[in-house]
Amino acid sequence: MAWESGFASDYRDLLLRLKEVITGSTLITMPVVSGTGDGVLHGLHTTGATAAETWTITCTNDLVPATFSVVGSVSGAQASATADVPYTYGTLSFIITAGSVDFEVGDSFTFAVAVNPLVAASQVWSVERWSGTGAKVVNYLVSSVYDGTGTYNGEKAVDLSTTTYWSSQVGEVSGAWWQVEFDKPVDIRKFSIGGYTHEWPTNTNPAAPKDFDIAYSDDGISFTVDSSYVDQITWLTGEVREFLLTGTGGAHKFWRINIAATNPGGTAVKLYSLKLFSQPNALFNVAYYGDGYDAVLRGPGTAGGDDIYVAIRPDAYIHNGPNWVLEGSLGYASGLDSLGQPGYSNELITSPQPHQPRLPLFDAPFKYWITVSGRVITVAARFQGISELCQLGFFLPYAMPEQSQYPYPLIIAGAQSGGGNSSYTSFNWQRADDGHSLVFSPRCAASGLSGIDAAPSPVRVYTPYNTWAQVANFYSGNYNWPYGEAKTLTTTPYQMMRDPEGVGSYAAYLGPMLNGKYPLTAICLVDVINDATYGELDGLKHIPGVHPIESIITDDEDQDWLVLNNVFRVSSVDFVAMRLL
Amino acid sequence: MSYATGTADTRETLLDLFKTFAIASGWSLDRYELRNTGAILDIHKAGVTETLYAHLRSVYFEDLPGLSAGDFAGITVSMSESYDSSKDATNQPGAPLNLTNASQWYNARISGFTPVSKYWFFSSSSPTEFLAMVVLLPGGTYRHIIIGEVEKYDATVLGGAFFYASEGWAGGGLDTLPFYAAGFPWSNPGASYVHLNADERDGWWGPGWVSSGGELSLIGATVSHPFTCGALAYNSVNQFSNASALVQANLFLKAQTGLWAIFSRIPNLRYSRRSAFLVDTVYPLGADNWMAFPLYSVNSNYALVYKKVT
Repeated sequence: MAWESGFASDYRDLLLRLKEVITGSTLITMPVVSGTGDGVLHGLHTTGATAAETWTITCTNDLVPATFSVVGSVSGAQASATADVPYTYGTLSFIITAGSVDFEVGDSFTFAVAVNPLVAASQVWSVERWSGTGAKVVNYLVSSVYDGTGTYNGEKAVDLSTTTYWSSQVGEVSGAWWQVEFDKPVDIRKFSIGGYTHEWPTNTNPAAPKDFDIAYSDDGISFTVDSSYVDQITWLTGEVREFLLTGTGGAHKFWRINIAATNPGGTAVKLYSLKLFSQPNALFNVAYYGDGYDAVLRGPGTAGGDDIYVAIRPDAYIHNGPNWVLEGSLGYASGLDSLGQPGYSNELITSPQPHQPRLPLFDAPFKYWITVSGRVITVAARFQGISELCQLGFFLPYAMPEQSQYPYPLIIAGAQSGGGNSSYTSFNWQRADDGHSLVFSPRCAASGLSGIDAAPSPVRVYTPYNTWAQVANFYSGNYNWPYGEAKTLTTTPYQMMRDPEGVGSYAAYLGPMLNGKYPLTAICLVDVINDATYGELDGLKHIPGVHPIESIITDDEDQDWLVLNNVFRVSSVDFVAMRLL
Repeated sequence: MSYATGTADTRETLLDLFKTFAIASGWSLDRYELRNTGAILDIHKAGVTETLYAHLRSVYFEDLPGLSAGDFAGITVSMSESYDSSKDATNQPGAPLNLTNASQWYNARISGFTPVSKYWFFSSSSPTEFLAMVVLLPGGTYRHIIIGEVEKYDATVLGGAFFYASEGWAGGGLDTLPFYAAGFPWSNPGASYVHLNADERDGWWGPGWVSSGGELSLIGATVSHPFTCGALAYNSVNQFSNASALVQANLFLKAQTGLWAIFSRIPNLRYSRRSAFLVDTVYPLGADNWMAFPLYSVNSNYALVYKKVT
């Protein structure tokens, strides 16, 4: 029912904008650029239902930093904007970032704002949960490192691995410290430490901290102790101890654990499975994920009678690329994080990293498209020459809704997955492997392995049999859509994407119609285990052939579709059309 | 009239009833007469881009023009580019069997003996002409004949008259969907035809009977068959809903580029899974009503689903 496109400032900004769009804020159009400078206007936000009008942002002084007039067709002239300085007028905000070519006087950006049709259609989503500061981890610092090879550096304390840890140099016990820096202030209210598992022969952990405190700082120099802990002895193998913070706390950019003493016999400090939490009951380890916006969103359906729960969490682990972790659930519980909601896909507990689908994004301005109805959200992005896309919400089931034959046809689709013991342990847009693929051709690939730990697909559906299943049509490198052959893996039935017209098997042969237009064919969810066809994707269709990426085509019903490719792939079966509602 | 059902003692009675139904549906009668071992029915109606001339002929082991062997009892169906009262139903001007390179394979028919246990007739003029009969024969098997004009997605493709019957001459199975390329890139020949002027080629196009077809008759030319691809994405009726999707019968042609170009679909007809439906039952779906019939036997995988316009 609604769509917009623009430039997000980064992956976190895109989530902020998505929240605004799906909750009914005024929509914007992609800024039209005119002139010489190659800077970009991004981070454009409108909150609430501001009046429809056209805004023109014109360079009036090209001395660096350039300044711009800001004129609304209804609001009139407003205060000037300055390049690289956030600008706000009422509910409108944006930032202009200078590029490699300086702006010249007369260069302009023009965009329109318009009423969001979701409101009139009563298809506005509600934000059930929105927490976090959006902060990401900048770095981990420590007082010293055991051997300097990186094997025991500060990151190893929080990398979720079951075998790695941070170790201070031998001899440093009292006075050792571990520190994390965030790019925005974060409050920490709980942390946990795991018992080191490899001490022999006592099976206890002399290197575990015995007396320690946790402190915060806003400059990384001057720290204030929040809480202190003493006599933490007799750590057993695999033991995890949780510590609540009892001080005044508050949000700060630097958090540090100062160790005054190890357990008896320890010659160095070793921290293993360290996790920091922003709330006592939080699931997210902000030392790993950052304190990203933890969003649980509820869609009302097209008639207002549904409760469709999806969740998005930006992952800001320093060694992952920026990405969103995607999840769905059957209900909502206010005390739980987004990945632990009732009926979620139950993969969070798989260590060392969850298997949830992810959408790789970018940490600098990039182009995006958002479409949303009361049933489903689709987000696409373009940067660095690749296309990314995710879809969260209901697909179109082949079942009768009034008979509740398939009451919760939820799809959670990203472009990467992994974690666990799979082949894929990091998530970033640079990956050019089989495990990086969009929803119309989801893949899993890990030769010699099986099951979810081998190669989780980036697509999940909630089946009519009240289970979660993965969807893939690519496995072990031998199959490619549309020739996908689903494989039964050990733990989860895999399905495949095809189109209900049956064209899928021959899609590589499909060309344009004789009038030059291209057919759009539906993308179908097929369950090869239960011999069923669940339905088809809503707002996404396959388009055969090779096309200009980002081109917009119009079908016979005058519906516009955005053409994107499958991440980095550009063969004749690698294009998908996204309906611009 | 857009729907009728009943029984018929003989093939000729069935054709007579079908004549009445066609006329009531706006078709013009060119000829209906008893001839030799059967009856002949010629009708026509203006389509969107061409006039649709249809010819049905009942026969009982009789040689017909274009058909060399009288080995068949049933009803043949054909279409042509015009009507000639001096000719039998199978060799009307421009009909597939009357082309210079024609062979007896260019024949669509339903075989069977009477009486017809039950018939169902369907017609519609929207979005394009559609006239069909389904018959239930003794022994519990079904036959289909469909005449009409395809619903085009591509206005640059001219023509569009099409006809289909359950069987083609060459003895393919009786389970052949209209234009279905079951054995890619060609299927059982003779059961489906569409009259097109497209991609600089003009004539009757069929789903891929591979022979030394001539240039005019594109039937048999290996580069030009129209077809539908795999009819359903997967095999069965959804267990969770006891429902099966109604899949539209899209037609593709192989363009001279070597790639396939979609150009139309069969109006008012869908493919689906037979086991999802009961015969002689109306299934409402939105504002439309549909009736499904096994493609051949009650054990067929597929059903043809007709829109019942009332």
